[in-house]
Amino acid sequence: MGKYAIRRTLLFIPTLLVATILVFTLFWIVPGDPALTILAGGEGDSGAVLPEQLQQLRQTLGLDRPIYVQYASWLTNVLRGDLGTSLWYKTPVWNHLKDRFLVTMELAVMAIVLAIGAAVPLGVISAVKQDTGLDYLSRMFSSVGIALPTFWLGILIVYAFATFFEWLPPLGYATLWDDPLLNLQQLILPALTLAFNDLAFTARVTRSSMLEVMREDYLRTARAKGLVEMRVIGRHALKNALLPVLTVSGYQFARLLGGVIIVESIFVVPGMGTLLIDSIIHRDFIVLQAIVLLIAAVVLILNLMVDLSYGVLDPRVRYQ
Amino acid sequence: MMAGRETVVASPILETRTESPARAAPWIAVARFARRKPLGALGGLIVLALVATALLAPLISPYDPRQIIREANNRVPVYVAPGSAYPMGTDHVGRDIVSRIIYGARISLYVGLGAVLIGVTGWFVVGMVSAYAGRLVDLIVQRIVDAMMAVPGLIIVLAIMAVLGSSLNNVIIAIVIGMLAPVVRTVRSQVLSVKEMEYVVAARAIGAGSARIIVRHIMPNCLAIYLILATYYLGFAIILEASLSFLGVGVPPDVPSWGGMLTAAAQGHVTKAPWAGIFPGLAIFIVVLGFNLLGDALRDVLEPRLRGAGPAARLTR
Repeated sequence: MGKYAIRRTLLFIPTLLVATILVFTLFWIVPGDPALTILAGGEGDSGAVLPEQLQQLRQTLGLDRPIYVQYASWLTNVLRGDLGTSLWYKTPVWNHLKDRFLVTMELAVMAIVLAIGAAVPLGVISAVKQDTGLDYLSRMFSSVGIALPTFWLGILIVYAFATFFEWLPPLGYATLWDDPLLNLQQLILPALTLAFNDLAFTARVTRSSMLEVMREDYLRTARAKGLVEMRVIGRHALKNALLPVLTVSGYQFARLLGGVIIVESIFVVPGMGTLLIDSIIHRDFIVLQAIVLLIAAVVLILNLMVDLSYGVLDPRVRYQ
Repeated sequence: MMAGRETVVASPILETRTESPARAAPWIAVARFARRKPLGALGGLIVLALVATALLAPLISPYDPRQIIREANNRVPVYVAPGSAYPMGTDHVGRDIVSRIIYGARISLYVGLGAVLIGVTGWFVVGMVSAYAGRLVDLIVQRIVDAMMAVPGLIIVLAIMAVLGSSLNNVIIAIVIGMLAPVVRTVRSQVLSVKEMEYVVAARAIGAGSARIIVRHIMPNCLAIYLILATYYLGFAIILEASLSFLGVGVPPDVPSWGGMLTAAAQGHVTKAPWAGIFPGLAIFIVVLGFNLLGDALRDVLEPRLRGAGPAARLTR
């Protein structure tokens, strides 16, 4: 296990490094001069930009230095915990980001817990009752769930709750530690919206993983020695079928963080997603860069954790 | 169809001689496909309907999709409920929703086709080269893919839109870049398995060069994957374009995009005018479902090994 863990962790470092290079170059190489793009605004009216202004911005951003020097100094700053100064708010990026980061993470964790909680039973039922009406219904449900765009689902949920239950989440935002109940009320609808997509996908994975396990010899053995069906499914099948579900859910988290942006902007949740959209509108590349980097780091660390726990749970993985 | 494929696997020399039944009579193949995979056929019909709507838009749409309607008494019909005058009602500035949805099919199809033709084709070649070349090339490409996999597709695309600015073609460029990691990864694993097939080893043994092996042996056996990926990613691109336009960073607001039509609905208007929030979303949902169903059926028929969760399932959001 030790060897596997070390190998896997060593693989994580170059990937993270490549991610930082991508995040960095994405914003500073793409088309022409970022300083000009920032000053000219979205429509690209470069005629109105003064040369002195341009020169000054280039200097503050360090664009007059070679690209690898820029990258090196950016990376050392990031490693020191300095994500730069926002171009729009003129304050350190981390001040804006830290509270929003927690909000987004809370929302994402709530969604994934809801999704797994509903998807596993759904997938198991679908597999155990394979090719019956129940299975067909649950498969249709997951096909539909996968094609449902998150933003439309969000709108429909708001509409349904407002019309049929005459209830809308309270406006504003209360943190979990200030007012847990209010916080829950505010986040439950966005979390449900987010969960729905993952639910559909995770249910599919659970179903196919269960179907595979149910063909194994040890299941026949379990039945042959006279175990009750519930016990065969619960103890012998599900336990083994959950491994792929675990991996998939870990990777799902990355997808979820994409959906969070949309959901946050529908339900006006003050998380990283709304900040991301704001920073795109303000062309605040420093904030944008910080958010993308933070998300990449979270996802990579999570993937590492999933792989390591997989190594613990399934010894076969270690010897590959 | 399957019979033809198996002969290919067994003996590459027979490949040119055996004609698969699909090639002999395309309509028979289509009919057989429809009987075997009714859901896939439904998906195909939805796709055909989308193409027809996009092509015939000027003929079938009752109003100009961009124009704010002025009625006889010079009144602007803001949020008029669906009725005989406006089958799906009007939007927040007084435009006909059904006309915008019909013209929106053009935007969706344009972005979808553009992104798939450039993206799936381009990254397909990259994935193939990466798998075939191996060593350093593969290592570098795989590190880039791994790093890009760490960022959700939507966020990559949003970040690129921030840099490029909003326009229809920039949406395509952004989506193409967003497709890189998943397409390269899928193609690479497929090519890696084809590369080890006996007929490739045999071709190499009789002295065939790399170019010949790629063109004559590997590419034909990756054709099915290409078709499946293209179908899935059309749906993926359509949903991404809608997401971008919904967030206000996709196509400019006057362009009739299904996603953009939902922005006002999300800002609390949905309780006032539910039709403006329901119909455009329904259009996206049906079309994406259509591509996914077709993709699933194609996958089951052409590449049953990929069964389980399709790539679109992992991506669309």
